[in-house]
Amino acid sequence: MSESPLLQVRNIETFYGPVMAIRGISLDVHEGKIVSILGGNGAGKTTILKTICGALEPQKGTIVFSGQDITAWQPDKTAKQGMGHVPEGREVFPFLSVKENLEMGAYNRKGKNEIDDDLEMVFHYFPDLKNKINLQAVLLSGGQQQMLAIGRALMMRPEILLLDEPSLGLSPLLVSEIFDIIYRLNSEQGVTMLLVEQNAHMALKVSHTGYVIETGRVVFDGDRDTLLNNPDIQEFYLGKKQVIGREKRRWKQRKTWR
Amino acid sequence: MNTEEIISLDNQTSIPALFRFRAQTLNNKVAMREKHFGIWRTFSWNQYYSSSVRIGKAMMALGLEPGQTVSILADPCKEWLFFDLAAQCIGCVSCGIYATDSAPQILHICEDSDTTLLIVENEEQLDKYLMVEERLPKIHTVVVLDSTGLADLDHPKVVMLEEFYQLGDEGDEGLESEWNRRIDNAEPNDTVILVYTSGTTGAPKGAMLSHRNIIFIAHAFHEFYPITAKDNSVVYLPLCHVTERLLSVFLPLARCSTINFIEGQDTAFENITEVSPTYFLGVPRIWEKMYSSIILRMKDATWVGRKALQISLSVGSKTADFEDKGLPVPAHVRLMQGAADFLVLNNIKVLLGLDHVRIGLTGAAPISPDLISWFRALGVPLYEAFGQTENVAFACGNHRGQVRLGTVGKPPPGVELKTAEDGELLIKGPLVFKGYYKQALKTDETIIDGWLYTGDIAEIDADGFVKIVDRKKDIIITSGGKNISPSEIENQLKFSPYVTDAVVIGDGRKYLTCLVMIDNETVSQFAQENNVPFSDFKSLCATAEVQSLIKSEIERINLSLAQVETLKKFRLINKQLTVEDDELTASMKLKRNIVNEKYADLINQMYS
Repeated sequence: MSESPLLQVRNIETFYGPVMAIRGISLDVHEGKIVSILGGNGAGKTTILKTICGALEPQKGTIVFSGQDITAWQPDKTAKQGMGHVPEGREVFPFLSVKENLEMGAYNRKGKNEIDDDLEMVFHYFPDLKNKINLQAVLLSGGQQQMLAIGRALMMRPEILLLDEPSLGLSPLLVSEIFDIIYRLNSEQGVTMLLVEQNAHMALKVSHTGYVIETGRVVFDGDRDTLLNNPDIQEFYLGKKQVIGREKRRWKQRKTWR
Repeated sequence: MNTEEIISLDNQTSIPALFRFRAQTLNNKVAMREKHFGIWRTFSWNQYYSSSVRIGKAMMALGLEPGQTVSILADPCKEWLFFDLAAQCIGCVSCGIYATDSAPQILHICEDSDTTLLIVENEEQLDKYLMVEERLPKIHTVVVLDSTGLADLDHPKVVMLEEFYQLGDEGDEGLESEWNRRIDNAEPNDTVILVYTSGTTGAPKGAMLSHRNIIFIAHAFHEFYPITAKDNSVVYLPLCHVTERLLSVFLPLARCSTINFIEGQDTAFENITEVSPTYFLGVPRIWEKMYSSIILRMKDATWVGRKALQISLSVGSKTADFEDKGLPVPAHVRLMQGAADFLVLNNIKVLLGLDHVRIGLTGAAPISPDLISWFRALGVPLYEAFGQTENVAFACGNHRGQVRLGTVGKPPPGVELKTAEDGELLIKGPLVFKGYYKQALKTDETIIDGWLYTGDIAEIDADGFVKIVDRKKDIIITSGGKNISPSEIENQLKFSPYVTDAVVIGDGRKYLTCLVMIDNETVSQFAQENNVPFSDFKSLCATAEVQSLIKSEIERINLSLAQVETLKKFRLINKQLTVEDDELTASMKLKRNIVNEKYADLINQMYS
């Protein structure tokens, strides 16, 4: 990939007080691609997204977004720059209606016609939301709230969508539905996405490249096929079993990431 | 000492007799501590002994006869010791197997040693046995220490630990007296443990060690490193390794000291800090890691902090110099030392868990003299010693007042050393093992006229200090006909905080080159500090900055080497290796021949 990436993260380190959550991470997101960040609990995935969008300030390192150094910019500025952040746990406005929530997404935009077009586009992808257009967001199911959160971020016409665990707390059926939509948004609308996920199986299905994070550091990266074919990834993240010994049990090799 | 002389400790001539005597006299003194759900629990000598009695009775109830082999496949834990000593007490031979060994390796050891009773730690180890079960018909019982996950297992040969204890408790009356009778019957020259050598060439061989060998070493060790009942140590290396066995099983038996088990390899450093041992043996890698961690921390420290450490270390090295030579330390140096200790050095020692260390030892692999002097300057009395499986892990050592850096010290009384014509180190004395189990031919090649051929090339200086040059088979002869010792060069490389291990290549070649394994932690930090983008280990190795970092380290070392010894090229091993990889030994050393084989392409690149 010769063209310069849309989002370029270089050597960022982020602290929570004295605790170093991110210990030097570099990654690239190219335009029109879905890049996923995989890792277990507490690996630092969410912290990376928060650092990129400006909710947290890195102690070190640079973040370049469409050619501009946006390191340590406030979230409102990065949002104006074109970053749509779908936070972990949805965080929709509970007492606003579905429509009002979506309109909040377009808060910074002008041009009513275009906004209306986008609203239609969101409803096209999330027909469920259209049926509940005047319902308060708090009354939606978890899956619908997740759709609303994604829709709200789409309403700002982002150059990049930062998705933080869209599968959190959803039934397997809904998870595959959400990921289906994520895939279609990317392939049909060309939305660039940086996707944080614990559900590696789903995430790798839709993404082009991926980074595996452990204790604040990248331990493995590569394109989809490399990741899917790596025996360690298969064992630790995709749950494939090496069958040895008694009754199809298996023993983990110690993780090595070679 | 001639071989006829009786060697005894507290009038006991065998390990079992000594064990029984300790239990009688020490009673409720703490023998060991083990961490259980975050809390250190203590076990007395009485508990130690009575657990072994129960196990021994069960073993006898199963019909184990003197001379049969009991193998233990587990990480260090208190039951390891219970079974080890129970087997020894009933006259059996106890043999340890590395928990990281694969099923085929376990098969080889169990087969070769004629194991009849196998102790496995848990389900994972049991599964390895079950994979090779049919090929081990001699094993009639397998004891599982941790039965988690095995509730539904129904296997005629497998017994859980609790059932095994019961077997001993329910055994008939005569077992108790049989136990004592067998202890009394132990002959000093009986084989007590079988230790498999790591075997960098060929299959592992079982070295037979006798009561006499071990009791002699307990005395010899005491001459140089007096351990008392007040001392504490940490058990963190595999117990099947002869060094850890000596330090954690036999020396505590001989000197009544207390041992502390670590929770697991991941928590080793935390546990060491918690326990703060008074004697501590580290393989060079442990000392290197401790050193690197301090060097790394100092990089982030203030200028004042760095300067303070530098001054304190120079004071410390002065004090250490006097002590090495056995001279009294002048008053003004002592005064400065006090200040340096109070302000700087003690804090660092506390951080590393070395603040109470009276005796620090390094062995099992070559170490850089610079590293030893760094620790000695810090105030950790670190001594390099030398030993092999075949001589119960201790043949000579530096010790208080008798330190010469770069050597492995002098032999203790009763041990004779000399070099053969080709420079090979030969050892004679009651420490020389009985031979390899069922390998008379190999034994005859190794022990000739009572002299043990160590396979190491050594130099003995006028004062009797022994300098190990290299393994005989590792000496490199270049195509120009120069003899070069690779390990000396490798040690210098390993002293760099960025290098974990290295292998020097050049046998039959025009010039020397090396393969380097970098330290992930320190090199990542270097990359971070210099804004070098990288993702995983492979990409870290590939960056130009890391390549030039290692290049500069090698160039620095080249300055101190003779022209023929300089390293002309190098390559990085770009995958992170663990003990489970073939390339590393259990003590995390690179295996020269396997590295040569596996990385033939990389090596050939350097010569084309």
